[in-house]
Amino acid sequence: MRRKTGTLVPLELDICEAAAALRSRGIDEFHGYLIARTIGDAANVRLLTAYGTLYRALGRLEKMGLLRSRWEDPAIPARENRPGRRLYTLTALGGAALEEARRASEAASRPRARRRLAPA
Amino acid sequence: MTIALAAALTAVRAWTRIYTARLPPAIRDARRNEIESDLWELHEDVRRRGGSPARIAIHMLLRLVFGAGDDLLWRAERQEAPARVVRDALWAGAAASLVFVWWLASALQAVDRYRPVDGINVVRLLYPVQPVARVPPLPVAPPLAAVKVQGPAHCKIADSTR
Repeated sequence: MRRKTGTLVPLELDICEAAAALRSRGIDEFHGYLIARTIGDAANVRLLTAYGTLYRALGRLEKMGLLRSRWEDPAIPARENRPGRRLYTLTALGGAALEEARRASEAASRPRARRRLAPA
Repeated sequence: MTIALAAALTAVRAWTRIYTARLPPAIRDARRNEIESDLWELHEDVRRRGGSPARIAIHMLLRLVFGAGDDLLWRAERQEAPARVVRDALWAGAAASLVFVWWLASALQAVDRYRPVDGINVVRLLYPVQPVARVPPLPVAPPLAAVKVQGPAHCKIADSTR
């Protein structure tokens, strides 16, 4: 599927929505699995987004500047005996893109006003 | 850890190693570590929610299979020689398919082995029982003209009294 310049594909939009939802719950940074789980819970589906699809989309969003990522301090996973997490954050640009996408979606779903014909 | 879960983990790790092979170490290690972290988080999350190891294994394999195309495209975006990408991708895809088919066959065999006697047997449904021996055909009856009709003994006695 070829995308229009400056638009987000549905999965990218879902990631931004999930990131905004997590932020509203006080979670500013999230890892890949958490975002997949949040999207899955919102859509009420059991199977989460596939590995390749999810991480490719996260990479694209980071390249577009809508997300920012960093690896967590290695001392934390060493202490908790688990692999290190790559933590993503929704940037200001990402928040603005999400708002813009929401507005566009609302405008598209609003029924068009019928033009009345002037009496002859 | 069950065999199914170990097989699923091995399949995801092997596939990740295949499609990240011969990439610059920074990109390669970042991707491998990210997938490793996701595997751990998924395992912990499903375990916490009370899911079985078999369910975790199936979930991992489905996420692997459905994302394999995007993995190859991700790799292609980072490769310089397109022809080589296609060749590598074909080999990697074939290898991943073989691993998946092998795992599925093993899982089906395990289902057959541990299914209770009175339960529904999936393998038997797929492959119904064949008869062990053929029933021999019935003997052909001789033509009526060739049969010599002989009356019973009491008939002869009746004739002699006339």
